[in-house]
Amino acid sequence: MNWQRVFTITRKDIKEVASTGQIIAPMVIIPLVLIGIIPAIAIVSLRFSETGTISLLKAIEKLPPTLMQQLAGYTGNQKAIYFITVYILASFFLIIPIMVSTLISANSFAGEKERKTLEGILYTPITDLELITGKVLASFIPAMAISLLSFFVYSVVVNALAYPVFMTIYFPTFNWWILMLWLVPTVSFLVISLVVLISAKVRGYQEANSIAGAIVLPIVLVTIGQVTGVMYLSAKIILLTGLLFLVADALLLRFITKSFHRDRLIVYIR
Amino acid sequence: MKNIAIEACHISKSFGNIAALDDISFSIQKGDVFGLLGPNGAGKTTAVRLLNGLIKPTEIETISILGLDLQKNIQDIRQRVGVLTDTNLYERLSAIDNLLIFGMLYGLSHKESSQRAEHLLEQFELSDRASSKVETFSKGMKQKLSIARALISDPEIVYLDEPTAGLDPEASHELLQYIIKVSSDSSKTFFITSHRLEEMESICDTVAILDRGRIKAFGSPHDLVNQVFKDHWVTVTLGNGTRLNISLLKLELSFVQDIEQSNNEVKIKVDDRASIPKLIRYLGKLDTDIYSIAEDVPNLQDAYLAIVKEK
Repeated sequence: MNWQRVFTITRKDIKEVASTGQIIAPMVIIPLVLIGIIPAIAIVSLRFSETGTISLLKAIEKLPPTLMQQLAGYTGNQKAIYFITVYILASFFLIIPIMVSTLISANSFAGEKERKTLEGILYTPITDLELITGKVLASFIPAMAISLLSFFVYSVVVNALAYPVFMTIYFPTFNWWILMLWLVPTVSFLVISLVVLISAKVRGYQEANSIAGAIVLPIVLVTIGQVTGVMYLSAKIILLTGLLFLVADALLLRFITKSFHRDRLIVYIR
Repeated sequence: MKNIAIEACHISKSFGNIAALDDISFSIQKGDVFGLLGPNGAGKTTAVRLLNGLIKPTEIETISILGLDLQKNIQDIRQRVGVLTDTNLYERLSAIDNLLIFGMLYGLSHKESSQRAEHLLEQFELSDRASSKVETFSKGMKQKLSIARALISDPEIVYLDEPTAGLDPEASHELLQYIIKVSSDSSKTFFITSHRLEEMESICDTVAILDRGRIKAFGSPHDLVNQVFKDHWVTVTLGNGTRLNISLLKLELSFVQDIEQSNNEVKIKVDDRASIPKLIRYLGKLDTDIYSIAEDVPNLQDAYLAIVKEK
């Protein structure tokens, strides 16, 4: 693997995306809403609304005993805020990289085919694996950068707004570190690879985006549901889940490379 | 074999039931400028894609590039060739970025790519627009930049698919001069497809005429013309109302084979080129208003049209 060629493709794709307002705007707005506005509203309303806290505590009582143990020792208001910020909003951190990366990766091959720029690259000595890896990284790196930045902003927002309730910095928890540094990257890589595969098979960006939405969305929803559940579990299980995703990543990348045929790509470039 | 840059033997390519290339064979010497000529849909771009391993042939005996088997050594071959087809540049990136990307994809370091890119931009008179986004370029400037991109790795073989398309006559002329200069200064081989026959005749060492997937003629432009046009014709322009006595001409000049007279123009077919001076001497002695006597010299375009129209 020639990494110079891989990163040349990655840099080129990121530069192109950075010059497109249509893609940049949702990449800024979505994280801002998910990690700034929604958590702020949730914390402030729980701090000042007793009814909200009471109804949330009723819901918490129905949760598994392991979770109840983790919340033991907190006051009612603390329990409600902790539950929302640590468990429920965790799924947002899967939505962010997946949304961001889908915007870029749908554009990867399909956008190049649409703009008739891909054929030039196919004549160079770049291998299929290098080209695909470059394309996947072009979505993965910005997605991770935005996720980690969002994680930092979220930590500041949560701790700042909840400080009067907890009188200490309680976020991020250990499981959150594992979520952000292990599970989010492996899940995102899988989704990106899948969208890149779709992008290579279709004719244009809109088609790639529609199919990606139809195929990726159910996977995202299932994964998000599972992640909310996984956050209740031990760090070991989260690590293991991430490992399973890592294996799936490697298998999918291998499949994409095997099923990648330059001559079939050319059929669409007419 | 050492001096052969490209050799293709019995290559066919079909898309469904349509034969894009039908059993073509040819070889091109290193350092030659080769022109593949043909009407739209003749299979020229398919040939370029096939010779670069981008599409696979339906049937093949061999394709050898720089002495290497194409199918077994595709990566090595790609490293040594540069290609321009009907592809677009990255419009949102600058001219220099477009060249740097390709330099680095060909394995040049950032420094080498920069030096080479700057040199090419200067050569194609685009230095002052190096940092401008390509979307602000004219069609001609884009075409020049695309050609520079094909040359970024200093390749041994350069494929140029319709390189002068979109260029004004001056820019076309400059490009052709550049090709002539590069091919004579170095051992680069140029494989050019074009419709512009006059241009091709002036720069190509060898041409092939491709029509409906088959190579109809192959050779130097001069040889090709001679293959098609074996007859020698002379056109005589007369004064208004003046006519030549055709019967007398035929009777007195045994080398005259045919005469066609229309208005004030007479076309005379002679048996050999060496007979033309004799004809001119004879016509000079006549008491007739003759304005001009000219040998009809067919060019590549005439040969091309004759070959392509031949069913």
